[in-house]
Amino acid sequence: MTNGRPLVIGFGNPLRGDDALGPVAAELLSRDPRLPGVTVWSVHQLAPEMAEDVAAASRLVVLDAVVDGSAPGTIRVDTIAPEAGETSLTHHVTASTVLALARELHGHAPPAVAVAVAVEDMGAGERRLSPAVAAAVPTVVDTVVRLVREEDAHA
Amino acid sequence: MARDIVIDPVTRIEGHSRITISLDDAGRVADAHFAVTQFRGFEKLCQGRPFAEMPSLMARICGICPVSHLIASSKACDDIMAVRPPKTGADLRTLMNLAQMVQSNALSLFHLSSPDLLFGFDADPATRNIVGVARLHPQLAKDGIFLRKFGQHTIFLLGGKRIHPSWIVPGGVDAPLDAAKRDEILAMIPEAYAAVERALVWFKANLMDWVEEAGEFGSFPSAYMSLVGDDGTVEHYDGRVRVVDAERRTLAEFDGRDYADYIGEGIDDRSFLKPTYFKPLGPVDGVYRVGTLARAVVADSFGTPRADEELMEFRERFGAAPQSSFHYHHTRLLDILHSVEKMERLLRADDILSDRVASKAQVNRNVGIGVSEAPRGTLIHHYAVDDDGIIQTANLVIATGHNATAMNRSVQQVASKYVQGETITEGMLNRVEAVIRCYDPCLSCSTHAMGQMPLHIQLLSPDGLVLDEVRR
Repeated sequence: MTNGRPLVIGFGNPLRGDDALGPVAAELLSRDPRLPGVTVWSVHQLAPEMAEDVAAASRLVVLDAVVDGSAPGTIRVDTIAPEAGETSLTHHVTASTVLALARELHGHAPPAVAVAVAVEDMGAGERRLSPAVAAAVPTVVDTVVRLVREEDAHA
Repeated sequence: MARDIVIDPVTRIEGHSRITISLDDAGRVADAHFAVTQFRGFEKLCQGRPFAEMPSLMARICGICPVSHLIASSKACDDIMAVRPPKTGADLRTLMNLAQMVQSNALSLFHLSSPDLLFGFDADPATRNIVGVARLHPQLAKDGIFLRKFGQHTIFLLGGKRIHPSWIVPGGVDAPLDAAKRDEILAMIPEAYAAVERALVWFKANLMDWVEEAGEFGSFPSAYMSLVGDDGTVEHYDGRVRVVDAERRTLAEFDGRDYADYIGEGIDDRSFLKPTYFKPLGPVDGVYRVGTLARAVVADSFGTPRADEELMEFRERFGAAPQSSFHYHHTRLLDILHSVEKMERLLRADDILSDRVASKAQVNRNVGIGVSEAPRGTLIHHYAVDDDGIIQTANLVIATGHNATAMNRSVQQVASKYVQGETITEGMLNRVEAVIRCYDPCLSCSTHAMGQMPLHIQLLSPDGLVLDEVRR
């Protein structure tokens, strides 16, 4: 349980090239001495059952790969608001939906941000990050640490 | 002029698909077709791999039902080694499979279909979603989330991972269950009963709201197929394959290793989905359905008291072999209830903590076939290996393939009722998609073939004339 502490979730498919960005960064963050007591998850996708832990967190930071036309390795930090989102769900849900479920079912949606990294190659069967995305990983980790510590400083 | 209405992609199912509805000159539905437009290739990529790698490889087919592939694949490997797992090994595999039945059926009913059932098919999509369910009926949403979590956490406790656990191996499982984990799972069982039984009360109380849909959602006579145990009860892990007709008369009952004598596999030029048929009746009349509805029809009973009481009520209301695919929703709850009961029974058995959980052997046969029930229906893995155990060929027959012909008929039936003129309404769109979701198709699982991919490219003039076409 998150118990009033920040929750970091890196998600993506480790077998789809750059889509592994979230899990790779989450693995590093889970061992980072600058984040004692912070819960870090590495998952394939977000799911509704995460709402309870998200509701108990003081802050949510999600890490994901995006294809948005930016140069590979470009890092963007966006605020996430609780929203029902589209109906076009398969088995996964968006971070906005998890936040909305946390609010509706458990009474609290913490402040949340997405650290999105522009990627270029999400081919099946590849375990490697492309060079530009791999080079961005240390900055992604530092960005998450900064966001979490900012939260702690304000707490 | 005749025209096509294309719904692409279909939402809230697993994978990618396209539905094409063809209208005649008078604007009536002439044809409807459900196509899978993604391609995976697992049958091809596993060739040349050692057979013992197959369970882990095949689990990657799907993020929703990897346990089903682990089990069918491991059973095929057991067959290659000519061994059966020790009783505790088989029971632990069954336990994980049942946990997956709970989480997957909960995902389908509570997360994907309940918005339609709760708000109606014509409701605003902005509210007709899982968050809308949480707002209007929080207990239902909490129950769905709990059942998902219960199944996923049980899989995690047994296999160390929620998705793609590698604990199920050829010959059994690779580690016994310890008392602490058993007790942790048992501690969740009472809430699992409460959640599914609350959902059943809600579903049955609202049955009358859906009478119209139940009458039109894939309502036609067909055969049904599923595994049954030696005593005729529902079986998810082992047993024999039974096929019954629309009157619930047994058409065939056979060992899963003989599946090719009874199940034919077809090629659909317009889809990567491989449709099947019951061979003795042929491709046209041999349509059958698999999955939760089929299990509730085919078996004599569930063999567990709570689920059997519900099954008796279900059969009193709808008959022993109801024709509408709408009843998949109701039978998902029965399947969950039975799974929880059977999990408790297995966990309370004296030998569930035994450390004899795997049999060891090398290649003793060149062919192995494994059959089990996945949440969506019967799953068959069929491998051929050389004397060194290297995979030569693999054939996977997946629940969504079994249901493919029934899904097409269902789409045509719903489209004929709701498509009028050339206007696509949200209500029509969602009803066509919803009838597909009754089957909870898993397209990731159903498009694993490579090398026999039908490719049909047509160049059409504005008035629909074929100018050129290529088949390969």
